[in-house]
Amino acid sequence: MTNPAETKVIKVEELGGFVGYGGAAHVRTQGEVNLDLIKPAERAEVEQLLKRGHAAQTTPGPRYRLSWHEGGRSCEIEVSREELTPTLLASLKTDLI
Amino acid sequence: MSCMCRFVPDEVLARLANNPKIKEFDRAAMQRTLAVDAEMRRLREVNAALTISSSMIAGLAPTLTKKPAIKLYDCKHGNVLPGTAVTSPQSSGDATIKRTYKNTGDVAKFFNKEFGRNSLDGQGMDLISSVHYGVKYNNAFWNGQQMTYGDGDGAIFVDFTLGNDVVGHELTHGLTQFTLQLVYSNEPGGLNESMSDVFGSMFRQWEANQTVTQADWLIGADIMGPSAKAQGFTCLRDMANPGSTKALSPQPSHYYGYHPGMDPHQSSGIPNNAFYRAATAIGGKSWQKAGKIWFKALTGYGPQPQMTMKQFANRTRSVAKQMYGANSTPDKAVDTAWKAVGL
Repeated sequence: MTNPAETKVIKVEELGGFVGYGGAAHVRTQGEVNLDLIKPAERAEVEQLLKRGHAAQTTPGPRYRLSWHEGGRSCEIEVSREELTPTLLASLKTDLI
Repeated sequence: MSCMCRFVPDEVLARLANNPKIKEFDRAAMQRTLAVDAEMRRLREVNAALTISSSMIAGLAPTLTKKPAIKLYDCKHGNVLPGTAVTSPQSSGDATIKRTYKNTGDVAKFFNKEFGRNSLDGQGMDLISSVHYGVKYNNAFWNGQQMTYGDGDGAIFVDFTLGNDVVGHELTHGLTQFTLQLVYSNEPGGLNESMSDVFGSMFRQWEANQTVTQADWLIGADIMGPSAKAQGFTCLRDMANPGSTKALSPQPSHYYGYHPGMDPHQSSGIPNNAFYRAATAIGGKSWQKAGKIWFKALTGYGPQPQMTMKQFANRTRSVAKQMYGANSTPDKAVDTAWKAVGL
């Protein structure tokens, strides 16, 4: 389970849709949010989201992988675009890699 | 015709059930099995009759049901779907709206004229598209109910509606949803993505009236932005050469490159390449023969959400034989194409 006190930096990555973005793609849409730098109300919303767990993908539409480190291990969940908070959404940037 | 395949034939069971050398208890069990078999046979016949009737009704349906309405919504750079309804998209001053209206109508026409399909559900369902989604959003998608298009950031991607294969791709996800209903993971997920690339590419070729040799077989070539082009990228995926270094998203082209859990946009390279090989070996225009085989395999047999690539390959083999005859050019081309990708 998520321990909010330990969770500081959330990495957000878009997957799916026409582009796909996964696997060996030379393009990524991703971002990073430091929870210490966002307003308490939004931070609470993000922490609630992290506790929700993994949602199974049912359509080819985009989904967002949230990953973070906690207690020495890597954690990740996937959420829909509608579930991203404004700061998580605004952090996304597309780059060639 | 119903197929009845039983491990022990009825006549053998009947002989054994009447054999006095066999214990009474075992003979009674065989009699019960015979009775169950008879009931199963009756149910299969009822099922076959219903399937034939429903196919006949479905065949008539396109002439009885309405034409799909093309509905456009403008998200005005917000993230809420569907956005604001556009009243006259066909005469809009917004090029994205006008283009999306035209391309969506053309895809519906393509499915109807070339494959006899009335919209995605076969019953003329309305086609809803939202444009100008998000701020410089670098993607397009089908969400189970509608299409959504981003404007692109203008650097890596431009307006996603500029690619008519993008429109064809997203609409085909809807077609798959109403037919094979492939789940979106592992092999069925790769097949799902491939169906969209295959029909998206075919639609692009149909719009340009290209033969298989004139076509470039690229996916997303028309949405590459200046930064991507400057790095030498010409497309998102390449059906003729899935591993191309000029593709932003290179894919495996042989089944040995597949592994469970692989992203559907990666594994789709395998069936994509099989379609390219089949279509080019058949020749002419892709939608005339190869496309008809793929369409029948996708839409003609009811849902099979967990279908594997091998099962789909075998279905196209069987459809090619049914439609064009054993040892015909399409029959041999389809078989050779799948073998070439390891299936």
